[in-house]
Amino acid sequence: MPDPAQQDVFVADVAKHAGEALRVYNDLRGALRELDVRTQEVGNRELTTDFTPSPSYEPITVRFLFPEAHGLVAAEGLLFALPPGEEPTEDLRIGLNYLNQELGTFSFYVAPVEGGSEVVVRQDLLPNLNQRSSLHPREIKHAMTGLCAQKAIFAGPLQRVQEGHSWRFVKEALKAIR
Amino acid sequence: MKSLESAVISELERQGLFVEHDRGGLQLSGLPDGDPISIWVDETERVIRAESTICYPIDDFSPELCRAMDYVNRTRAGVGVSYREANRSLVASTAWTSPNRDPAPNQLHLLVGLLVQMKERDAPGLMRVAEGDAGWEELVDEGASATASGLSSIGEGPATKIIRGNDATERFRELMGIADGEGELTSRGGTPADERPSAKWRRDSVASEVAHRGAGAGYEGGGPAFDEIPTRKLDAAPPSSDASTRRFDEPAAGEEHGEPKRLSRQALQIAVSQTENVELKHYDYTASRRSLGRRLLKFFGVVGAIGLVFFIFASYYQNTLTGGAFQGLFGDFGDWFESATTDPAEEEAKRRDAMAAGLDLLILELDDPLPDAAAHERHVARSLEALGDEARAKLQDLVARSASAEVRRGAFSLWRAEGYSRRPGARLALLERLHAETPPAEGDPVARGLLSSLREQPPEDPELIEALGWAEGPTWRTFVKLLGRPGDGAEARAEALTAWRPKVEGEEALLVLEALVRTEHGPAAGLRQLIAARGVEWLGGAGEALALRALESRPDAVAEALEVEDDEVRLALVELLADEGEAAAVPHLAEVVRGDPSRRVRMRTVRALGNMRAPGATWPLAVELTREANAEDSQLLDELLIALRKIPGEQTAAELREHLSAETPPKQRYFAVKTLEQLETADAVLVLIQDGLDDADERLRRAALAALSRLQGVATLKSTIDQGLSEFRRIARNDESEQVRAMAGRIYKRITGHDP
Repeated sequence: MPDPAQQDVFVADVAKHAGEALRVYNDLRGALRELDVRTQEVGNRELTTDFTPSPSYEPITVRFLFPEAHGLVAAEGLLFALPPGEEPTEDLRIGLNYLNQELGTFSFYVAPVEGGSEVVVRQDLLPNLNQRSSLHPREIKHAMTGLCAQKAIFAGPLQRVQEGHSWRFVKEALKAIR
Repeated sequence: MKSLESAVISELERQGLFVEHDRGGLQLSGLPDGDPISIWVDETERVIRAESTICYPIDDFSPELCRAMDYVNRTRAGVGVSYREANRSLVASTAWTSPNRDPAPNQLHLLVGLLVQMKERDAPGLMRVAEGDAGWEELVDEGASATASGLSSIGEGPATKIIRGNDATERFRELMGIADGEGELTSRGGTPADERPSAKWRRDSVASEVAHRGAGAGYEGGGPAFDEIPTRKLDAAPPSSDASTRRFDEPAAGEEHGEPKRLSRQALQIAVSQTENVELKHYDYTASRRSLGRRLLKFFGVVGAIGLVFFIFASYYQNTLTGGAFQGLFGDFGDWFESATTDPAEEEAKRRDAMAAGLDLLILELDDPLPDAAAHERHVARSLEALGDEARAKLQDLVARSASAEVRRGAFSLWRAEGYSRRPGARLALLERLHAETPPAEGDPVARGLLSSLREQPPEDPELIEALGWAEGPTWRTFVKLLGRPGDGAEARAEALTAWRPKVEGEEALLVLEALVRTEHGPAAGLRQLIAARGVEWLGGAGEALALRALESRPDAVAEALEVEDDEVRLALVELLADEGEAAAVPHLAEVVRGDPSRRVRMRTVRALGNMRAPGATWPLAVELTREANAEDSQLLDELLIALRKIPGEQTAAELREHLSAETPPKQRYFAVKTLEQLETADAVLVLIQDGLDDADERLRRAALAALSRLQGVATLKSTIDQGLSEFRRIARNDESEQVRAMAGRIYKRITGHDP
């Protein structure tokens, strides 16, 4: 264990260590090009695409965005959209929280959109400032594949929960794959 | 220590954090706020997760709190928040993953820094929302202001602690109706002492006093009214209005509610050590069960065991220690415990284990193998291995020169087992060496083994022929026998054996002759000479096959053999040939019948021919039957006739018909007619009628009619003769010879009763 007297005190500096958004954005576009993934820019440095790793998986709409003013990228995958005017149920929120609790690398939440709400799953990409490219194509493909897998596993159960089933439907779905 | 984990630890320590292993993960300390951060490293999935509690305690997972958490999850990059009911806390978490690259220092910094940032930026607002002190929209405002102020470095301000429930706002206290000075109200919600309902339920009742908040961004029509949203716990159990919302331990009645105590790790450790230091009073539970009898039994048991040990000890060392004082006492028993002398077999085994592998050990094992077969094989194997390429030569030396029969035999077995015998010429070479060193004695097992192997798999003829030069005794005889066989190369073998005939005599000469005859390229008289030399016994034994073989391949040899002088031998040969029933033997036997000087032999041959029932014997027998020289020998004639009659009548008649053809000399035709008469069979009668009556020679016609006239008196043939009625009439009317006409007329009249 290092001698505390010799160590500097840890000072959290997110902006400094997250890199510049523009650089990461360019690296992201380059990596997606390498993956031969066609994207659509929807403004504000947001890219959307439909992705599936294999024909056996239902494609997922993935949105790459920079939530904050630095280089941390969020890859959002749309699980399903709530019908217009419909609010998420209690059990749906409990189910989403359960998944957030159990799956450390993904975040599930309800995102408001024009005309309603969407249930999304997200994985964040931390840029690597030590490498020539802050985002590697394999890392991006890995993230998109993960989102697609989460959709394949949980979109259905979450929809059923929204339709009135108990949130434990999601718990059973998670237990089935573990 | 795993590679990814070690990289994480070293980098985080370099950045000024203290890292400890804790329950399968890592715990970081040294942060400005003092609260630890937990890190888990998954080497397989290549995931690093970091977590930190940002709000505690939180008992109610309210919809408002859900919205606030959704907002945070949506707008904060790199970090997520979730509610842990078990811990009653909000937990922020970050994660790094990469399938192909290791974490960079900036990424590890972000894992920790994002958590610290969230603690400072979002935790107070979340706590207020959880307490019902604010709506989730306030987080929007706070987030906007924080972003607008361009905060980039976190941690330079006052230390940020986990927001705790004791920091309830003044407004909340007013809502709860908590006066100053009363018991501290914690988020556990009320005190059972005053039966005050939980804050949650009180909140519901005052919820209507809270102004309806405006629509939040993105929520069409505004969010639901605060009072319309039932608070829910994750266990869905409707809480009692009189009971605390807490499921955890309630404070005892009258106990003041103080700051919720958390059992620190240090306190836990102190408690554990105090427990370990407590000396338990020992209580003997068996005391009530111990009785005098048990104790006595135990005493005698111990005494007996000690006595037995002493007894054995004394018996074993009686002479040494006591000088035989107890000789008489332990005499018989002492034999049971003789001093442990070393087993000679074990000693020998150890000695051989210690011996170096090589020829000496090999000879030792061959001469006197160890009783343990495994040890014996092991020593032999390692000796052979030590000999290496010289093993073959050494084994052959042992076979050829060793004075010990066991060694020779063992070496020979090894030599064969190692496959050295399969080399071309190896067996003959070893055999030659044996003869060269010391000619092997009769019955020598090694020589016998080699010869047996040579017999099973003979070498090439040139090698055998060459080996005749140095071979002696059984070896030479074996080689001669091996050369005596027909088939491919028989001429060369016969030539080699013929070359040896002048060199040998006696039994060896006969051996060579026999081998020569077996090649089927020997002299014609070879079989006769063998038969003559070896006698009848040989012919009935080993010579039988040879004679029969010669019958097929060398008929001249058979004919030659039948001229052997010994009647008995000729007789044995005749019977041998006849017993086989081969058609090839008939001419020879017929010749014997015709010309053998011994009547006995001829008689036996006739009988043999009859037993053969061979149609080919018909004519020879017929000839003898009609020969004038035999006319006086009625016994022979009877034998001939019997023999002829043994042959199936149809076949005999057919054979004799052949001899009634016009091309046959009249004498043979005459013999045939006479033989047909003698047969006295229906088939013979028919041949006489159909062929004999049409003979060109008047004498033969008269002989045939005479035969038919005589046979007419045989009752069994009368009907057959009657079948020739038309022939008789024809001949009686048309034959040119008056005598023939008369004879035919008389036969006709005897049948019909009137003249033709």
